[in-house]
Amino acid sequence: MTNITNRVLILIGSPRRHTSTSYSLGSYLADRLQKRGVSVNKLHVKRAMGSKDRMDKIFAAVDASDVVVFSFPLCVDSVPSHLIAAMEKLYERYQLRESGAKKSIAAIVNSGFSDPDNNDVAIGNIKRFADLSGLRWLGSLSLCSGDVVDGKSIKDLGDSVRDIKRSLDLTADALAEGRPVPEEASELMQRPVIPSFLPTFIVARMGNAGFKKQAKENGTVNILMDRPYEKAI
Amino acid sequence: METLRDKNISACTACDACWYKMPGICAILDAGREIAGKVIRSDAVVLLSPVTFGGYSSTLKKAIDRTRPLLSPLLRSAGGKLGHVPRYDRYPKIIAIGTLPEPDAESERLFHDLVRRNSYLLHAPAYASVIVYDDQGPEEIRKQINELLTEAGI
Repeated sequence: MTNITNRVLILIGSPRRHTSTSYSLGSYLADRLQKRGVSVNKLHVKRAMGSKDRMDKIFAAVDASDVVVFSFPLCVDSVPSHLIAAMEKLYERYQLRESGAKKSIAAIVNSGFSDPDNNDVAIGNIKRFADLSGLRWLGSLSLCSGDVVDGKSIKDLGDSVRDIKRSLDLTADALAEGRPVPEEASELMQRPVIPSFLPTFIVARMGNAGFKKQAKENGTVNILMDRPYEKAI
Repeated sequence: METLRDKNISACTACDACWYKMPGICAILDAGREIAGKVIRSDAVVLLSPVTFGGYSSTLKKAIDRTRPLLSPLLRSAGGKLGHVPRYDRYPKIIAIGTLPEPDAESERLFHDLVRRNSYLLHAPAYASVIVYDDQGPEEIRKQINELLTEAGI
């Protein structure tokens, strides 16, 4: 099919920037879109906060885009604060503009938890932003157990991320053609990375082994459960 | 009472220092660290915010994101659901008051759901949330807030 989307902007919402899973997912999608002949721009939202020049750069990039994709991590059950701040500014800019109706929004949210429902509020927040701003909502992808990507290049990861790759491939095809995120892509992204037959206490134990290893590497395993805020510090 | 807009609070950088490098302490030395400490030393926390796309405003969310040191990185299974192992023996109740210019069913649904999820994540022993509209009179708001506090067991 012919492309009807010429320009896509991917806004990376992770404060970890280039080392984040949000960046990995956004970069793979960007690569697939570029292969379809779509022009793609990627910007880090956190970097723009507190800088008028950088925020103006985001405004200009949004103005110049047909589709904006938010790729971000779940943060205390919803959208990270700096991305909400950007959305507040974009809302002020687009709510009364007819030009907004020609733009579309999609979202990719990732979290460390294994339950896909954990991302529901964050996706709802982005959809509400789109609806209230008069932007067209194209749908979302929700990745759980995002540690499987852990900020690495998805292209270089093996079979463990085949569903993620397929999901992003299908999404790139759809966005290039101006279609919403396909249901199949959403389902593939939501497929459990950790087998669903494993009881959650086993999943917790597996995760905790990794967390304790990190604490050991930092020499903090014996103070991992300290309570320093019990008294004012 | 903390007026967050007047405070110097940086956004969480997800550096994980509060989990592995200096467990329980945020690496950013600003009002965000002090507020997280005040949260854990309280019996109840009342959150006040305009309902923003069904969530908190960025100003309030910045402070909430900085409560990460209150959680330990370790996970546990509770009722078949994964959650963090509590770092502290006790956590505050969470009461949230959202404001909207007028009723907005979807934003309200998301807001209540967010408060419920935050209460689970942050081990709150009780929680309650309410939406107040711009055109409501003081008497009606007072009644709503009294009901809210009763719901939270206060």
